[in-house]
Amino acid sequence: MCLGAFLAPAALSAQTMIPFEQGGKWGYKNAQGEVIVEAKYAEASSAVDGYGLVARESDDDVLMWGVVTSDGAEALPLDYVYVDLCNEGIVAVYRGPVDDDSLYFDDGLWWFVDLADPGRDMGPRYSVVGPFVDGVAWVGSSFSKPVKRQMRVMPILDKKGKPTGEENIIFGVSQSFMLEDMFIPDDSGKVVIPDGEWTLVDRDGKAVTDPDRAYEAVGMFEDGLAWVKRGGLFGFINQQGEEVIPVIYPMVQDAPGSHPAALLMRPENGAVRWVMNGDGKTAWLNEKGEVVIDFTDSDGRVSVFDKVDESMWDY
Amino acid sequence: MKRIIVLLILAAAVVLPEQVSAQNMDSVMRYRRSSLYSFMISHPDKKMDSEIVGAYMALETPDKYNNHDLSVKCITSDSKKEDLQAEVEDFFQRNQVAKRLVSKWFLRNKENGGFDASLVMERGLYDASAIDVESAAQTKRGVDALADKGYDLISNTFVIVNDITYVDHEANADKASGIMSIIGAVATAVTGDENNIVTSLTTLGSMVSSMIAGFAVNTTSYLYQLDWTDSVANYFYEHYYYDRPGTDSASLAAFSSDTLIPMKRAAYEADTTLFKLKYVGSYKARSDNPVLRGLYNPEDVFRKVCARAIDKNVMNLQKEFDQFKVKVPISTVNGKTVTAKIGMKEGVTAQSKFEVLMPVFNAETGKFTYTRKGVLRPDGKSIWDNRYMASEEQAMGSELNATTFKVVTDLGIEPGMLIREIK
Repeated sequence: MCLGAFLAPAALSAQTMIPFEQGGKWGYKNAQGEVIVEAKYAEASSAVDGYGLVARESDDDVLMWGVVTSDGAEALPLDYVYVDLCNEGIVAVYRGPVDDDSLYFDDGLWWFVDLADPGRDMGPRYSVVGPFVDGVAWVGSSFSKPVKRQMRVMPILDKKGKPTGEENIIFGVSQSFMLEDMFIPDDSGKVVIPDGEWTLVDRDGKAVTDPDRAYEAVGMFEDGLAWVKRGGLFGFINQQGEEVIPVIYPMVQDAPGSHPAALLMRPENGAVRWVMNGDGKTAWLNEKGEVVIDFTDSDGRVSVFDKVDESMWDY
Repeated sequence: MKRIIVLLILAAAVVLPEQVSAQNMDSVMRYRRSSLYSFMISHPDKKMDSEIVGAYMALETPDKYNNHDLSVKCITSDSKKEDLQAEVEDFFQRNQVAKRLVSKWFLRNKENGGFDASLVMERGLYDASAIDVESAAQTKRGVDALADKGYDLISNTFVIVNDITYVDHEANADKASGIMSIIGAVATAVTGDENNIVTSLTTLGSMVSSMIAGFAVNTTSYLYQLDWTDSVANYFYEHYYYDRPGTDSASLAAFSSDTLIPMKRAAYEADTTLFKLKYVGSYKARSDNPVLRGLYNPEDVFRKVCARAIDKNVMNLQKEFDQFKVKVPISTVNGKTVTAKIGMKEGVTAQSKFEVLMPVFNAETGKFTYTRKGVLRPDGKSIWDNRYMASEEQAMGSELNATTFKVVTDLGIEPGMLIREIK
């Protein structure tokens, strides 16, 4: 049993922790090929920010996961059913059931651990947590349907599209990360996250948004804004938890089912998002809630055969 | 006085290249860059359209060009025609795209219609003597100077229209499924246990990649160039150009009382014939298979496939049309080798050949000419892989930050000189 064989082998030369296998066990070498973490683990991921996700086999043949650093120290003991979402020095850890095929986790609890101070209390445990980005993270509970939180992996193909026999365990968080990445798609390949109760927390685990007015659904922050849904309506909050674009719109940019943005606003307009009102008209608002383009019949997309509404052009 | 200062700066950067500082070299490079507005044509009636638009909107302007984007970045078509050149050109005319590109060059204020030459100054090294130029820009002579020097800049404004369609056929899905079946078989063979975590993870991988491993697009890129001739430029400066007002009360009062301004504004807005885009050519290609290494989710795959497809078309348009070729400054010269920040994204291969050019400013015409100072060939073992997400892919050459060239002919090659691919 060697998941390591299906992991990405050499990481970038710039990375200082490169997984290697020896005698069926995994460790890490540095860019010069020197062993920095002995090959004693059942699994090892590509490193993220100087941390590697590693696993050991428990007495009952279950993998238990933890985190090592480039000096071989175990920053997080290998005592967790899973560890994920390594970003800004914080990881999400899970304890609870794993489905029979080890495909996903449900009914257990997730919480955060600060790798620089693993003993620090980072608040309660939740059904689902998102990654820390710019000092805040979404936490979710009370979902209307069971959520299937998956182990994130990506297969690796070569330049001709042929399998290399390797597979990446995804431990870090890319800029394109979406909460949907954490859940198993349905038969159609789509991920639908059931409504729940989402709250934004800071690095101390304190709620940044009002837990008594939790959001049913949320998106990740981009340019300082994240879409939120409450009472079936959408708006945007900033990272201070302020509803800068009020939660009053039937549809907004980036929300599930929305069409992609098709206008590129001048940088001086700030972070701009489109919102659609009950009449089906679209406006573009910035991170202060100010109107950049007022409500209009056009949604920003126009046919090659049409004339673009003058308000859509910046020059 | 302004012209002398500007020319001295250009001379220092061009004629005395060994003394060129990194900052000046960057300035020269900025000046040499063409400006680019790119947008896409999407097909809402076809599968994966939202994913393609989302990926496209996340991409940045190719780094060898100045970003000259307008706000409209995506238009739609349900046309069954493969060649949309006529429709694109009708769109340009109907929406006065060429005039909007000129408006952007002069940062036209939509409220009062006034122009601002700071972008021309910035891209044209005018910022080196900004105070002098700013005051000159308030005068007729200053505007005339812009007509001279701005020519090279503004005439090198391009538009690329990328018509991107999803390649939708069963083979993609079958191929992806087949790939993952192989992985599953390998996993089982290695572990000998169908119920272990390896097989399970592989099954999960199959779910991910059946959606994305076969993702491919066809992209047709139409290339246009702003038709900015001396006569167009002169007409613009003579009949349409006026400075936007300052914020002080005296400036606002002067602006309000200038009776010519409303006439110039009305004439500019009514003009539908002076500004044009001329067709350069097009290129059509299918995307290559994505390498999934280092990608975290399907969005990464869509972005990578679309970015690589567009880069491939841009590269081929560069090879085909001289006016669209990029000129890149030499970073270092070390004996018989030189380095420059150009690589596989621009189509550099071991068989490529480059000429070394020294730009010479002609004060009479206000334009640059180029003198050949050498010929280079890439060192096949040191070609920089600067393609989109090459580092994440761990591609060979992605760890470099420039391509190394061997000197074939040396007529006085120096850092700061420009290189351009030749056939």
